[in-house]
Amino acid sequence: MRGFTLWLTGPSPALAASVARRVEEALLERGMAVEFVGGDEVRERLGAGPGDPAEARAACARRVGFVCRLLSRNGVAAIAAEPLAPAPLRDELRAAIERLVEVELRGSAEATAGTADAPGSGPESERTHVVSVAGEGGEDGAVRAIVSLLEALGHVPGIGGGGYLAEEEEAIKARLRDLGYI
Amino acid sequence: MSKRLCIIGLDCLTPQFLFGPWLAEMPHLRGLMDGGIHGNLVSTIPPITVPAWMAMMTSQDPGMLGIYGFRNRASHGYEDTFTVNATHVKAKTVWNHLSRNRLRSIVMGVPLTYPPRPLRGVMVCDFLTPGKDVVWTSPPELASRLDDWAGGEYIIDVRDFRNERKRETLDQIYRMTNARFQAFRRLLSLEDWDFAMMVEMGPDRLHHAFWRYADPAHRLYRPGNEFEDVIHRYYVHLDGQVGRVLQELPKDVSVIVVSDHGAQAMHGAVCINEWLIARGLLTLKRYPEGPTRLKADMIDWSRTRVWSEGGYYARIFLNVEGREPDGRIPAGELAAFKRDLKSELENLTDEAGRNIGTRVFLPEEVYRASNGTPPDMIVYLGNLDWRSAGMVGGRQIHVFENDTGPDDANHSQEGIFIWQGRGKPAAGAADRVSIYDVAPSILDYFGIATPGEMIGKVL
Repeated sequence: MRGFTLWLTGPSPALAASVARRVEEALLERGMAVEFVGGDEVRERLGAGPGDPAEARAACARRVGFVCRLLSRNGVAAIAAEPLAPAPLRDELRAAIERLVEVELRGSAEATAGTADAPGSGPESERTHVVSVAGEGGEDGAVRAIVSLLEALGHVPGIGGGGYLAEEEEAIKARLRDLGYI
Repeated sequence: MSKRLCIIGLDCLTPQFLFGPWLAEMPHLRGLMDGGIHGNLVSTIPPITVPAWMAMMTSQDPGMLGIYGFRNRASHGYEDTFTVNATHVKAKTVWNHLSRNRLRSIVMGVPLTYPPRPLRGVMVCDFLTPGKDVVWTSPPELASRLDDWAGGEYIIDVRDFRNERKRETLDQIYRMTNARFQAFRRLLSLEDWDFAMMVEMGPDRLHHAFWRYADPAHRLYRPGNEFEDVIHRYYVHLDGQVGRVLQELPKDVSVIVVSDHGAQAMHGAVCINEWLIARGLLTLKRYPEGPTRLKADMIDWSRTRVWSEGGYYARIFLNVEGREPDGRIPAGELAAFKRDLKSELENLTDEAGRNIGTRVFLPEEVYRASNGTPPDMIVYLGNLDWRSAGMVGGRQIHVFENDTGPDDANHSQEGIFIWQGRGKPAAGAADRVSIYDVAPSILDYFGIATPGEMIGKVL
């Protein structure tokens, strides 16, 4: 698979980071090369940036974006969870990172719980997918929805076949009878 | 330095043979025992390959997994059943957790892994793979190299198992065992891995096919028969195969040898549906002229309260009003009905009228959850001295030839467990190890905390 960058935003940075970590685990489970590029670690290791808080946030997002770009162009699934405001910053990162998938997490009923809007309308590089973390599905549903979205976009391999075809199941049943199991 | 762990799974390897007098001829297994802990492994209820291996690798009981055997009910419809495969396993396996922690696995032949799922590492699916014309490895291209690595042919399972051509069966078992061990050794040497696990089905196939020849307590045993020493020699051969794996491993690799259940002599089969018919609990539309496998469309549901399916144990299903389509047991009488039926089953006798010591388990009593559609009762006929024959039409309850062909052994509740290199504090005999303790102990070995959904403890 080719690398890509998943960029999560939302009303709560802590929630976005938590969902990002869980998506990272889900992709690791599938054997993928994955890295969560956390803003806190970037600030700690690459510097806190300017004194002005807004400028510091933007500087951090640029640094996170830079690392994600390097990782994803080398075949890694990079995941970020940093605010993408103001708009020019978003445009800058969209231009810089190939195969960028933006997902906005929402805590309200504006998006259906546990689903992501379908890919396909308009260039992917200009889209922000919306995933809800509200309702019964909560974080679990959001993680599932994001992984499904990445599968639909072709960034993540599916988890394989759906089991037996009818004739295969009959053959397996016959073998199980032969072996005495059923 | 990073830790590595290798598991050699030997389906059905049984403690009375492994830990008995033959041990002196098995230096490699004895050496592993001396270097760590060993003991009997207490299996799942029921002690069957599926669900046992997956319960071992997830530390969840069959009820939590919603997998009660190879065949399961999808609903309370009479014919709504399915054959389980890996897509039905929702719980996380050891290699799922290891992948999440960036550790690489080799998984080969572990029952209930078909169809293959991607993981950090490689997977070769189990004997429930339909054939080599499907995707049965992860990555898929691995399949094309397995025959070569196996020295000619990687054998998924013994074919045409029920026959009297014993030499041919024995030859197949040896070829399968040798090929799979050889392929495993190649994987160990070629792959980068932290955790490696193979399961070999040969011991199970051997016990079922040859027990009568080796066990003086078996009804059909004849002293001096030509196959008398077959099981003994196969165990010694397996020890040699284990030794060749050990040669491939650096000295710092920890090794587990484990089976999913044991084996014991099978005295005969109880035709459980004939027994139900005799008690007026099961009524057929028309009694067949000869032995016939019971199918749902043969049953007069309006006059049936209980039916069952065969196998190494019996699964009992109740026809309950408001639950089954044509239920006949009033829901309000269900508890009393179950109690009475359980008592009757526990009083089952052999052909001479002697109580055979049947044990009856209720899913709601032995599992922490009853996901999916469990059987109403799980029955060990004669505590697994007898198997369950599902056929009807034979006009007898006790039979001494299996309904599916020759079979000499049944499964027993306890398998084996050896862990070399676990460390001195736990060294020595472990007495009994729960099958549910294996997965949390593996994760602990790699420094991973026991996930909340696992029910076992760290050894």
